Amino acid sequence: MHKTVAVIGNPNVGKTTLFNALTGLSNSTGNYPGVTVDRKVGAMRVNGATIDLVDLPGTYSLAARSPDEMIVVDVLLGQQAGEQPIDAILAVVDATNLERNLYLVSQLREFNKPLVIALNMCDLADKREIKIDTETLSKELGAEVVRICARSRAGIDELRGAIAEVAESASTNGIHGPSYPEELTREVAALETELGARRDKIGRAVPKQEAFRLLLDRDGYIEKRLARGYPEVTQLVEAYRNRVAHNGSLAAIEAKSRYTWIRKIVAAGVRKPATRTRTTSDKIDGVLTHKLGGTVVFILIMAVVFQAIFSWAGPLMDLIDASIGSFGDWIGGRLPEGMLQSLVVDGIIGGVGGVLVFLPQIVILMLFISLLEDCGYMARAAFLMDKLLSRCGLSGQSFIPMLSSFACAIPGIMATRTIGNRRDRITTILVAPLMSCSARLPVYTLLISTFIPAKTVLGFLNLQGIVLFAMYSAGILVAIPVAWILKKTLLKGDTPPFLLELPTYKVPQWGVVLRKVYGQGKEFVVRAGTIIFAVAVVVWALAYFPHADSITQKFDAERAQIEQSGVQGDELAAALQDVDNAESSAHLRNSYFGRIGIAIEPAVGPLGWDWRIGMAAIASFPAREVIIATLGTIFSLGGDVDEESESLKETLHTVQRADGGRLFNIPVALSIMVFFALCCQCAATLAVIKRETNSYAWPAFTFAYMTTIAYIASMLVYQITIRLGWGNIA
Amino acid sequence: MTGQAIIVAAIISAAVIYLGRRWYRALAGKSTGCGCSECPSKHSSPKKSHS
Repeated sequence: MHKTVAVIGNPNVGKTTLFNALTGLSNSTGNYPGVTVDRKVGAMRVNGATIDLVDLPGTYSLAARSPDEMIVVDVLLGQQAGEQPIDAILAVVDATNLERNLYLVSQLREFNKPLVIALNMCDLADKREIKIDTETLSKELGAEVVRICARSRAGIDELRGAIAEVAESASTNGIHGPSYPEELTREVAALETELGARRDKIGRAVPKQEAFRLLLDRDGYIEKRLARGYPEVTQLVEAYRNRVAHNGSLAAIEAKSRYTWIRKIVAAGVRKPATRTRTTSDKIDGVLTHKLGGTVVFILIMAVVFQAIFSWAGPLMDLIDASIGSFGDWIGGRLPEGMLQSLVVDGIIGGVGGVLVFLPQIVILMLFISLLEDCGYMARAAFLMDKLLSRCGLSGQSFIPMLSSFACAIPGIMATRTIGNRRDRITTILVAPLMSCSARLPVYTLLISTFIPAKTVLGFLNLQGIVLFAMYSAGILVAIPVAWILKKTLLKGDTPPFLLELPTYKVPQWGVVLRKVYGQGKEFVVRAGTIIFAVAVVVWALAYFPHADSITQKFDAERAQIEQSGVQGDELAAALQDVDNAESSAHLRNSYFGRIGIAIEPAVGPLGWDWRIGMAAIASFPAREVIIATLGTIFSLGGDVDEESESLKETLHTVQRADGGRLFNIPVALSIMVFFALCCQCAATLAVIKRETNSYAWPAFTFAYMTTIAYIASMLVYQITIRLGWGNIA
Repeated sequence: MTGQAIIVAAIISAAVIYLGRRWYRALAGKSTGCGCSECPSKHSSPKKSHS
């Protein structure tokens, strides 16, 4: 039978990198604390045997305050549903910061499991002249201690051997842990006995380690969980606490005992230079975490990212666009005229192809986000944002999920599991979808590159990049007051202080960065080939049928009349083209799509939209990038794509309203972008909100408030800019 | 019904079934329906009750 080993450590000690090195699995790693939210399992092969490694969420302590910290405790206790009881523990510790990391190790020692300690980042410790005597440490800790560097894979084979040996031997080397005041030990034993006597009421046995944490952690997760089934537990435990903590707080008693133990071990096994040298990371932080300097650098970095999205992606996008156009022509030429040709060329190629063009921009955005994450900058950004977020009742802890939401709201919402305070967690979940995810990027770039002039402003900034930056900022600017209002009303309550560890700056690992970029790029292509493909087919069907014969016959008669009128050459071709376009337009207006669109036109009119944009926006509620596919299909079917229109971009310039005026101009483009920036057009996000909050009310609320704000903001933007005369800018 | 109409009807039906199934699964909590390869939700099940 396979042995199971739990991999545990503080956030940001390189646990996931080590897990990947040991198992060869492709997991993403980040540089900010709390990136590992979910359980990951991998098989490690050593000496012909297989050992299952369970990668647990990073935690500083076993005093569980959030669901992910509770999972760690449950796995250690062997009471996590669906998880095998573990045979041993692999604790990953940061060799440059042993005092803090040994706090968790001191708690792990109390679980009576064989323990291996991976002393990671030994290269950095050597650089800082920190001398660690692993033999002494091993003796003092009662565990195997192995020096490693997970990033360079140094010491990995030795660690594998140690894990296999310890897991097989099942030896705990006796208990080497802190000593506690006698009254605490006595009361824990008494509490365990009393909980055992009330087992029937509680519904299960409470092991000693859990009773220990229950007593120490006032308002902790264990207490809340037990109180759900047995409310009397709170009063019961409080009586025990009062007997122990009459001379001080329980947390202080625990910390004192543990740090006494840690100091003894560090004094025996670690030698540090007398004076701490100012490291390169410290020097860089002097600028990057500075209130003013750090903010300026943050804005500059973001500006560079958005400039690059436009400047670098252009040639590749043109190439993809031209290839898709040629492919459409080639396929169109081989299919007989009729509905199948229309479905393939107008619906599928026009729809899916229009979305695929934006792949290079997605890749560039993800490349920057991954690089900034991997080098350690994102933790500094969270630090800078803490002050801003604390003003709206949140903390820097909410910044990490919000930042993840710039790639996709789903992992962002799931990253809120690290937030212990329920009200803060729900507030963060509700505002996370306001961050501009990668699916919004194609919508922004299509409209910006079509309608915003590529002018240079202030001598070096591209106007298009500035508008893109403004769209990304719009979500943040709206999220701040929304969070503030939520925290003052529906989710009123205090926010606990935020502690953030700033990891050492590192040269990004290209393997990790490229894997993340590849994952996002692949997801975009997969979505284009699945959801967007399917929606494009449905939109085409709604926009094509019923395809009334009466309309076809009417225009056939017009064509016959023109041909008999004696007009010839280019004049004849132009006249016939006009009839073709008019026929396509009439079919589209008569289609199911057209009929619904015309009915809703009064509602979208104040936003500057006609029924076609309104319907494209409605079709995009399941997934926002569908708008591009829908516009591509509508304008192809509506006869708006002429021979000169090589791409959707060019079509948008020429497409007309029913009154003959241009449909798109700068106010309309801005109105659409603002609507897409603020509206919750993602069924998957709503499903995850439902799952994470265990309620239909919160996703319904998210959808309602975001759609309302999006509508009002979009209308204001259109009405203001049209009055400023921006509608006449060519 | 012509051959073209049959192919078109089959493609449309497949698209409708695919989307319906996907959204049903997302709402039923069986998957998020986002299709994201790196997304942690793809690998995790709904939270279990600890009580």
